[in-house]
Amino acid sequence: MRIGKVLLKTVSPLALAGALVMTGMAMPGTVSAQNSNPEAAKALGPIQGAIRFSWWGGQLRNDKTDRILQLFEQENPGVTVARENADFAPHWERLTIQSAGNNQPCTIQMQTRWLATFAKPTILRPLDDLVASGALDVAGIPGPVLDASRGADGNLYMIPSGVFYFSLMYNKQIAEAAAAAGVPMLEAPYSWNQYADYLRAIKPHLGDGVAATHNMGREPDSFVTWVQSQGDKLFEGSEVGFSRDTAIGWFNYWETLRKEGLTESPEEMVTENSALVEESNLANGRGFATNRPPNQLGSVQKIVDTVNPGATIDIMQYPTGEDGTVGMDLGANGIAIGANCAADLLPASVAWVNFFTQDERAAQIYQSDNGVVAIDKFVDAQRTNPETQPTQVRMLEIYSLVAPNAKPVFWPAGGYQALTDVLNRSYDAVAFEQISVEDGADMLITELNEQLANAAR
Amino acid sequence: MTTLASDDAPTPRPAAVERTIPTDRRGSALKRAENRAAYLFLTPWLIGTIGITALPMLASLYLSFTDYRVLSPPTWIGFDNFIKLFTGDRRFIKAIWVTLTYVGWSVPLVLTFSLIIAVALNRGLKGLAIYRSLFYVPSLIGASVGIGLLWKEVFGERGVINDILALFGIAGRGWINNPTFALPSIIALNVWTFGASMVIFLAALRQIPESYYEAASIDGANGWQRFRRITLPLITPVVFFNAVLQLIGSFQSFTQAFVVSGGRGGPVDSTLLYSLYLYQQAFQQLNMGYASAMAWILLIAIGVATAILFWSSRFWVFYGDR
Repeated sequence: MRIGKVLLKTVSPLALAGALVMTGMAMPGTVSAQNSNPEAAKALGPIQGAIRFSWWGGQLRNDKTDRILQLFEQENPGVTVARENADFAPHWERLTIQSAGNNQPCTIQMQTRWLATFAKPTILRPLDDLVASGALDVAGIPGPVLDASRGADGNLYMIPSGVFYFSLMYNKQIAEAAAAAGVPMLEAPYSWNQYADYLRAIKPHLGDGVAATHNMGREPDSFVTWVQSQGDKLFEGSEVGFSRDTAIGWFNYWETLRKEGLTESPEEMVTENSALVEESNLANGRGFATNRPPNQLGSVQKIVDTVNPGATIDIMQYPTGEDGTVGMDLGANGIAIGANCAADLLPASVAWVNFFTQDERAAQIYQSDNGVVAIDKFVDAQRTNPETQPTQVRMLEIYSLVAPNAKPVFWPAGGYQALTDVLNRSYDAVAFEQISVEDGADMLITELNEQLANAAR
Repeated sequence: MTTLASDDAPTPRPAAVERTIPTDRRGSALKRAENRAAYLFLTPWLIGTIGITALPMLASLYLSFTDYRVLSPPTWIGFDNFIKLFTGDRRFIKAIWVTLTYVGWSVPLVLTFSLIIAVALNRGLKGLAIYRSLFYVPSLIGASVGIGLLWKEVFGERGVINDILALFGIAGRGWINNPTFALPSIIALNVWTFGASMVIFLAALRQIPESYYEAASIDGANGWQRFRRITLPLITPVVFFNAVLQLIGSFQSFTQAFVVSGGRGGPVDSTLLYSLYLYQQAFQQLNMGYASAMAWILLIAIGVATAILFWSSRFWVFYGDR
């Protein structure tokens, strides 16, 4: 049985680790500082050479990453790091082609949702030996978080640097104005139906043409929370784990809101979350709530300050099931080392991974931009540092609330890509009234199973 | 034969000995030398054709008969990919219909539009060179990502098109994001790049002797009759040439659909051109063997369509020397 899968299923490691990170407690089996061994890192060889680092993100993250790289290069004059950044989806497409040609970078930003696709010794270098010797410094990273970065073969393939979760994002200024007019603000925990009722109550207080909520019917992250809040599982191994009724319930929920005029039009829905933040309904005051990742809170607020001054953007937890069942996936981002990385470039690659994950200055620059920083002491430092952006502090606050009850999903190979593709197409067909909700649910389950089966071969 | 000269008679010069090489051997050596020089100059192209075109095509042909997932070695499965494409892939059939619709509208519209503009420009307008350049520019940049993004904005919910319609009191919509209008928007983008065909038509129009028109005018033919009876028949070879180019290009159209739909072919597969679906199978779903099968089907389809066009040319293309 795959070790990683067992751990994720039985321990909910990321959830447990997340709670422990926030409380500052160590847990049995946590990899502690004594495992770090700088001498072992030195024994690998001189830190020199030209390595490549690929990551995904917007301009703000690119700038932060570049600053950290410059710091690293200054402290390691024999090393140059070629930057390879891209948007999220192109990052994985590029990595696939690079891996097929044995041309992947020495250091690669990786994510647990995509790990199953790339976690092979021919693509990524197993890191267990480097961790065991202490060459790779994993001090302060909770054991479960580290274990969640293993592949199906049990090998460790990435060093996690941040733990991510999901939330709703909304215009707090509008919510407060509505509260003053008699619409009380939502307080967690609240159910999906209560969320719908709140939207109905707040709609009259929105301006003309302002959507109460982004239509999340096609959004995979929102769908995951729905599935789990209905007591279902997203996957059962490499097959769909949720029921037809769960899918129908999801589509019906959003179709009801859409037909009541609480969401944007299907034409806008299709591009809303893939559009530039500057053009989004939320940023421009044309939408009240949406589902952007919480680590985008800072960058969204920055843009809103320019295009819609005065507006305050905040995040809030996802709704629960009617019986209070929580749905929340947790994932980890980190850095992997390419299996093709030459032996003389390994010391530089290890040094870069250590620097990015363990250096206090790097953590302060990055400010949990790609998930709550995995190392507990940095979380405390960010939370208490007066220079930390209020938006980042808020992200850490919500994380402490959602992490204890989270249910991390084990994403099979190609799973995230398949869910995004099929959910988009099936709900779009429903929203444009080309097929019924029931047919949409059948399409979702059938085609998702097909793609998962293909990817599992 | 050498002879002894006398004291009185001038010494005859010995006959010059002519050293000759047989004509056929001289020709062969020269021909071989010329051939060597030709191959030497062709070598870069040969290397490119074999290394970058022929060998990858052969590899693709092999992969089309395999289950190849990019990150693991290919497994031979025979004709399974081809069978599945035609019997078990709903989106493949959809992609074929979308592409045929795209080609069926794009090619005639591009040819018609470019011919109309070429005829208009052939009237000896002032500033012809400027107009010709202005109309030609879109064909240079039309297939670029930048123009695709621009088109997405122009036809978007808050784009220029809706702003113009609002001036007339017409409520616009998200043209690019609506299943009914998304494909026509991309067709319009392709038609906008008519400039290359226009320039070729313009050159052909200028080759028609003026005397034909003069004679026709004397006989009482009006403008439309002169166009139908003189212009059109004489430019049919160029119409045929442009039609072949547009047909092949349209079947392979990719960039506009990819940029406008964000790589998804949506909304609801309304812009799922064949090449885009091939890309999705290859690079998003890592179904490289399946995508290779699609590529060979596309090659055969383009070949058949072109062959049909060539066969049909005997009925409507007029080559003046026959």
